[in-house]
Amino acid sequence: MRVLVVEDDPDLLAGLTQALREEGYAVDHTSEGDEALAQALAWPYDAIVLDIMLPNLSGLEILRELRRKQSTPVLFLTALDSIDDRVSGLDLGADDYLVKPFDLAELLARLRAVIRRGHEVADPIIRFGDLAINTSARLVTKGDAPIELTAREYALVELLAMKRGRLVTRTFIYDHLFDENHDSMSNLVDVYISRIRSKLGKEFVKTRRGEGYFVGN
Amino acid sequence: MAIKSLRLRIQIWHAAILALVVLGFAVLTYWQQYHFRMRENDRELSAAVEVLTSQLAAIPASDLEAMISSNPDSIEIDPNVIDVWQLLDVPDTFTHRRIRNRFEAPYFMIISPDGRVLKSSASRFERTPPGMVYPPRSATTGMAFRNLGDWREAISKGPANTIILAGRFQGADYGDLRELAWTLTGVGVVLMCVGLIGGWIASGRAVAPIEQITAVAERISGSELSNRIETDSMDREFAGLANTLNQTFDRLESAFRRQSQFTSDASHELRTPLSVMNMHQQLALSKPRSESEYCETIEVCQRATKRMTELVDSLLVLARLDANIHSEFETIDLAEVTRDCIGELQPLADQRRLLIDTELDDSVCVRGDSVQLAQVINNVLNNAIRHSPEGETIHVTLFTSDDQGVLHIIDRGSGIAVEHLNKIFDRFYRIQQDRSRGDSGGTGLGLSICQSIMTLHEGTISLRSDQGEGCDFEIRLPLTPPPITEAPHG
Repeated sequence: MRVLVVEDDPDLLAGLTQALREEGYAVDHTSEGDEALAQALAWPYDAIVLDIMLPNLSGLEILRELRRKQSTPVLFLTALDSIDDRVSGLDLGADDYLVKPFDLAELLARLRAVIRRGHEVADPIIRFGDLAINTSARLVTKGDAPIELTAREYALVELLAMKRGRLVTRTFIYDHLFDENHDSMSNLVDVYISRIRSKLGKEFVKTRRGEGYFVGN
Repeated sequence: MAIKSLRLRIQIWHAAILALVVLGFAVLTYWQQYHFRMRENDRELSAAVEVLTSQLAAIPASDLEAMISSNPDSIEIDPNVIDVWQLLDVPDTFTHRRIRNRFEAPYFMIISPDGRVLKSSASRFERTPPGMVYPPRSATTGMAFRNLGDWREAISKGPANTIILAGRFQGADYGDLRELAWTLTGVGVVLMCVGLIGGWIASGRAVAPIEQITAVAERISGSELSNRIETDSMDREFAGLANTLNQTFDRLESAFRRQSQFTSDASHELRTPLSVMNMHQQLALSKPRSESEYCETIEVCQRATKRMTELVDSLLVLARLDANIHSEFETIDLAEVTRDCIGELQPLADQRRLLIDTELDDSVCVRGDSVQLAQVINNVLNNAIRHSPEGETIHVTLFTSDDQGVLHIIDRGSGIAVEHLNKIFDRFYRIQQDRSRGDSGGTGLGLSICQSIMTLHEGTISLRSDQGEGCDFEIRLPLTPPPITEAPHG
């Protein structure tokens, strides 16, 4: 899952970026309003974490512009705590609103929920036969036995599960899973696909040669 | 006991004045009517007496005396005169006089000097003769009057020392006057009632705006300050009061709004460093970290703590300035304070290769707190240094003008756009490009504090700037005479 984080305080931005990366998200970040809008329009992010009081362009203006073209899930993260602020934020099309100072666990849970809704998945547990992917607990179980996955392996499983029944290209996987600072596409995606196949079973991910992968029927 | 109700007091005064007027009118009317009646009666009786006198006077004096002493019956009185009723010159007001009883009829008597009744009217009711007790005479007419119960008599000396008396019943007049008195009382009571009820209603209408004002003022509270008194339909006197109150409410409302804006701004400003600390602490605790990662977390928290400390300090300074708490003012040489500030900031200016060009008058003395004034100069100068391009010059001038000390701090930096100019002294106002903390590191309160300090010193701080043309901060303070240094005694 690729997330854009927009926050003008450098310390907070660094913390958020690190926390999200440790959760297995690919993270882009910026502290400038106009830059944030350009990035949000250029890229189909899985979610955007947006501050309201920003240099150059306020978060509300960014959202207003963004909503004309895209329905990317947006979570406001702001110090503005009045009911009026919340209402105007949500009415502009924000998917959630969290007031600073916030609890990290709550932010991550809300972000997961926002992403699920963005992929039109209502149930936090996605099932394939005896395989259950719990997107809330970030846990995959086969029968009753939990399967141990790294954050990035889990992220790949989740991405494929949310896109089930649809073809997922290698580029798409790469873009949504890996940060831009990774040097080349190489065969990173193939490596991760073979890792999850060995852990979850060969039949979980099907390959369409030359096109990509898909999960489900 | 003092009466606390304005309406009741107005009513009481109104009632008193009304009663006085009604009573005065009634008394005057009654008095006038009474005297008119009595005067007419007296005139009527006088006329009768005069007619009788002229009748006697028509008889030669010697004959008359003989007649009196020997044969009173032979005195001839015109029969018409005997019937006084017919002859008297009765004014119109009396023509309607009805004589219901015999005793009400007018009468006359002619009495001899020795007290015998020589002649009396036909209509004379049996009455005691006046005797010889003469009532005091009126000096002008020689006529005397007396009352006998409801009867009035006029008495005069006739020819040959006779006494001529004419009388009449006044009971009917008294009856009329009593009736008049009752009518006046009745009318007076009705007038009083109408006046008092009308007055009560009128005073109620007059004080109604006061109750409206009270009702609105009662609704005004800390949370509900938008109510105003409707003054369009109000009288001038009340509209003035209401407008004054409305202006007070306006001031209150804006003060409350500023206060709550300030509180909410302050809490917003504290939220960001709190979030930073919270974020990094949770992150550090979420799994085991390396030593350098922990160190970094602590450094981030330290930065956030420093920011919060600065913010809290600034808030405290502002709160103190708002509450007018300051040390004793003393006479300060502004040039000296300015030089100290420049000296303090010189290393920073050197670092940026900036030249500070000064032109300071030495005779500029003001009253104030030197620490606070130094804070103002420091803040403005610090801004100038931070916003000047390297190698530029900052001009600092101090001179006097119109009983004021004027300090200018002029930089050649990028200046400030017009839309920010009048907000730059607002609390927590930051020009957006300025917000990245690495650059300004400010709390957004520095210039507000400067302005509060200047207000406390009855001075002003203002800014002129064109974008791209640099900033010109002007600080004005009222002058005070320099301290008198005691001349050494020879």
